[in-house]
Amino acid sequence: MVYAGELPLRVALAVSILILLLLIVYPIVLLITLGSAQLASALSVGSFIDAIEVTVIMSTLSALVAIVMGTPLAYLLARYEFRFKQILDSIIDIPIMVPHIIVGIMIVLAFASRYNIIFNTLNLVAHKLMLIDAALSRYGLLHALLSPVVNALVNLLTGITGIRFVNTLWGAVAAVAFLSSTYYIRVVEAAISMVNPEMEIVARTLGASPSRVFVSITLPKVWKAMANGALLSWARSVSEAGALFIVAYSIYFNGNYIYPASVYIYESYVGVGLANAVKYSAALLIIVLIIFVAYRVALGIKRGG
Amino acid sequence: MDAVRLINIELSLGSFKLGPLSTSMANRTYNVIMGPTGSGKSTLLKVIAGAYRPNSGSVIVDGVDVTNKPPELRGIAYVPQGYALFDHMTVYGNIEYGLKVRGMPKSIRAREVYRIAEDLGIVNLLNRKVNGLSGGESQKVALARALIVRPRVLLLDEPMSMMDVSTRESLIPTLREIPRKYDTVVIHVTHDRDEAYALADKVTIINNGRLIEEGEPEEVFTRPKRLFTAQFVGFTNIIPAKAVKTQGGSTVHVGDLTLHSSEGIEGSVYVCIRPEWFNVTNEGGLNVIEGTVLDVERGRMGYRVKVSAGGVTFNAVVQSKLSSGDVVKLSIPPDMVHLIPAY
Repeated sequence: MVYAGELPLRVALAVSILILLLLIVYPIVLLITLGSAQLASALSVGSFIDAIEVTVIMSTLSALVAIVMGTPLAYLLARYEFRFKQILDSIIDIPIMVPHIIVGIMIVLAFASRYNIIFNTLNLVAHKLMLIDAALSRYGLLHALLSPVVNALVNLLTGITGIRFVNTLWGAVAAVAFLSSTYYIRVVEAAISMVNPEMEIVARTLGASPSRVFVSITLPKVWKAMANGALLSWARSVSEAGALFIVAYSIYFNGNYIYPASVYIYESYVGVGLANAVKYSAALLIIVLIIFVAYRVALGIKRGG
Repeated sequence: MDAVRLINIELSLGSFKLGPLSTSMANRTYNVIMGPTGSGKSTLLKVIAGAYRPNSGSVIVDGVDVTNKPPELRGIAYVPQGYALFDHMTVYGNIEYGLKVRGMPKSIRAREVYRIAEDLGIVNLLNRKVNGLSGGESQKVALARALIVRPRVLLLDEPMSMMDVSTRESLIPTLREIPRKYDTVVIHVTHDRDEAYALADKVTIINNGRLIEEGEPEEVFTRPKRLFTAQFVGFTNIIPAKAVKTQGGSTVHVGDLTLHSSEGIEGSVYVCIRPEWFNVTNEGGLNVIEGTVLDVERGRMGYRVKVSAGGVTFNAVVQSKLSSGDVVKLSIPPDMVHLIPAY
């Protein structure tokens, strides 16, 4: 135990604060100081506003994916011991370890290449259904009855396999959701494990169904952590560049190809130069910080959720 | 008919195995399940509550097999250790919860909450947050929350463990009257023998997941049938001996001493005597042990002394202050020399 104010602690703290200032505070302050003067100019550029818009939409959809996928998983991990828990745990951590460019490659491989097993299978099923439909045409009444159903199924399947992932919002959301859901799951898992499971048992014995218990007992105690986790995962998506370079360097949205914000800034840096990139970087940073702060204030999230 | 019947309950949790265990509890009775830490008593309670499904066996409540029913359909209320009060609600919200999830109208809920709060003397707490409550107050809130749904069975897991001694003693009458007042059966888990003795109509001793012995507290606490029970309920004198049956009891050879017991048993036995059953005497006669004081310790009930006599060390609780080296005579009536056959 080191007492506050003792020499070793003071030295260690001095070093740590120096690094903090140098590595984190100094670049942020410099960027915002230089860039804030040009905030209005940055925000008057239509293509940049489009970039922010598409980035916010992409990140919000990705946060929703994280909530839907992550909440049950977080509950499972927090509450139960089961076989293969270690494996599930590791799978959830994989996105943190994989280089983001590789994530982009994986998404393209899985959903936008000839190796896309899922779409290939669905296409095969659709093809078989069409053959069945053709074969049925000999049986008048049966065909009349079944054909609409078969056709609807075929339309559904071809609709799904028609989804394009490269340079679309689908692909962009898939890539950033892959990378950001882990943050949500870990935050929510920690929060759920802090809720006394006995409360849930008591609520059940008092007559509440499992879903009622979740809504009335667990959720009131973890919703702030869920909101906090969703925000973290959202912010992680906003900042993504690597995977988007591969999957969605530009996103086809509202009839135009729009760069995600991070790609936009990269383009402005390599295409025009540092001063230009600083302008947009500062603007994006300020906007993200404003959203971050406003969201936290609105939810009343205190330190640690 | 028994309100609760457990038939051959078995449950494996990791390396711990509960059961096979069978017992039953009558309506309007206070049942205490007693066992050391890790004996499986809380697990058993959770099996009854429905938090754990047993690997085999049945839980019967009022003649209905509830083994495969979820907790909300069992008619069982549960007060866990530490109470698990819903700390995001007020006391009122906690007590109201069971009626609210049953869809009861607000006006009826309010009436019921006030009624039970009045019963337990906690009306003044209703608007409080649960976080600032004392141990005794928390327990009453947890009891009110459980009793308001009129459960067929009330499960209490170590309900007094978070309380100081005086609060504990003041709450005994409240708990004691629950089975009859609320027409239910209470199953209370504890490792505290004073608590069990004060409350129970029936005591069940469990250890390593198995039922060791059960019966009325007077029986279990003074005439235990099993060695484990004797150790657990406070017999500090458990001495191997040989007994010879006589008319009206038996003669027991303990070390170099001979004691008389009113229990007629023949063969190898354990002589079991509670330390407080010894009396210091000046006279000689039947069952008087003369020995040397080895050690004296001050205790709540008197002085705990170790007395060596006839090659045996006895533990006694006496009221007179003795010192090491003193010679003392201890007498024990024959009907208080309890014998457990050694198998």
